[in-house]
Formats: sequence, C-alpha cells, structure tokens
Amino acid sequence: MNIEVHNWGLNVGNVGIDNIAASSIFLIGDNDEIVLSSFFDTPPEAFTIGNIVPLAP
Amino acid sequence: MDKRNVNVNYMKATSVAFSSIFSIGDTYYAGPKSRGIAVQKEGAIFAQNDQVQFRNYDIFSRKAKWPKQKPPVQQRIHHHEPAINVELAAFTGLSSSSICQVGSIEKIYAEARLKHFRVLREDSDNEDDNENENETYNDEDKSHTNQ
Repeated sequence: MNIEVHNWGLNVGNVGIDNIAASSIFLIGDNDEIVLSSFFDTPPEAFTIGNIVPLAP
Repeated sequence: MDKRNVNVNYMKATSVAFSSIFSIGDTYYAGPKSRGIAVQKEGAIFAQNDQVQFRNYDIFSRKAKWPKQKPPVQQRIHHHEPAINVELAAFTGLSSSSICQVGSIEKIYAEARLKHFRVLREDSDNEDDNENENETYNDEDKSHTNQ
C-alpha cells in the first residue's frame, strides 16, 4: 500500500476532556504506530433496554 | 519520520492518578497496561469477602488478539507547517495507566482489562436464605447470575 500524507497545518483553539482512563492516550503530536486492546466485562443489569428518558414528542 | 514541534499555550489538569503519565517531550515507545476490578455495592459496606482477586477471573489472563503483523505500507509524509498549535487543552481526570503527552510517541501498545461487579441487597422476602452469600463473586467458569 502506498499513501502520501500532507499535513498542511494544525491549529486548535480549546480542547476539553472529562476523563482519560483505562490505558487511553491523549496525544498532541505525531505518532507512527498505535495498537490498542481492551477487555471489558460489565454485569447485565448495567444495560438498559429501550429509552429510560422519554423523548419529547 | 520526522516529527513536528508542538506549541501549547496553556494546559489545565485536575487529577493524575493510578500510574498515569502527564508527559511533555518526545517518547519512542509507550506500553501502558491496566487491570481493574470495580465493585459497586448497594449499601457500600465492604468486608473481607469483597476483596476479589484478579486470578479468579480469566478476563485478566486470556490472550488478547493483537494484529499478527503490520501490512507493508509505503508512506510519505510532508509537513508543510513545522508545528502543531494548541491554545488550551484541559482535562479533569487522567487515570489507570493513561497518558497525556505533548510531543510525539513513535510506538504505542496499550492494553486495558476491566471487570465490573454490581452487588445488590437481597430482597427482604429472601432474607432467611443467606446461604449463597459467598457466591457473590463467582468464577467465570461457573455462572454470571450473581454478578
């Protein structure tokens, strides 16, 4: 595979993040290679089926 | 690959916890790993029985399916500006082997394993049969009913 990338410029005003957790990465900069893996097991009661907040008509 | 500079005018962080890294500068390799068991319990009274162990759950030992090999990529990158500019970057929490980096990272291999438990109070009707109290944190090869 051949790709050509042109980074013409990157200017950012504000970034606001609540939380970065569980081996996550917030990167301002360049990167060559990134491989991520995540296992997550949560109990069935944590899932809600259907809407819990009624949507406005 | 040559890397751009990064200009950040202002950064605001409230909390950096649990083996997290707030880093300014360049890195060649980062390989953060985190594992956690979260026990959320109705009544929030924790006893010896609530000290669950990683070794009892195979989510912490099973092999992750990493990509076998990277496909051959010929890439040419042209930086037309020498720097990335950011005015303000703010975060409240950085937790569990996470990284906030201003600068480049050549290679990142990150892994996270998390297991949640939710322990509810027994119904007042069933208060008599407390016999399954020790089975709250079942091994995974048994059942998931009490988790």
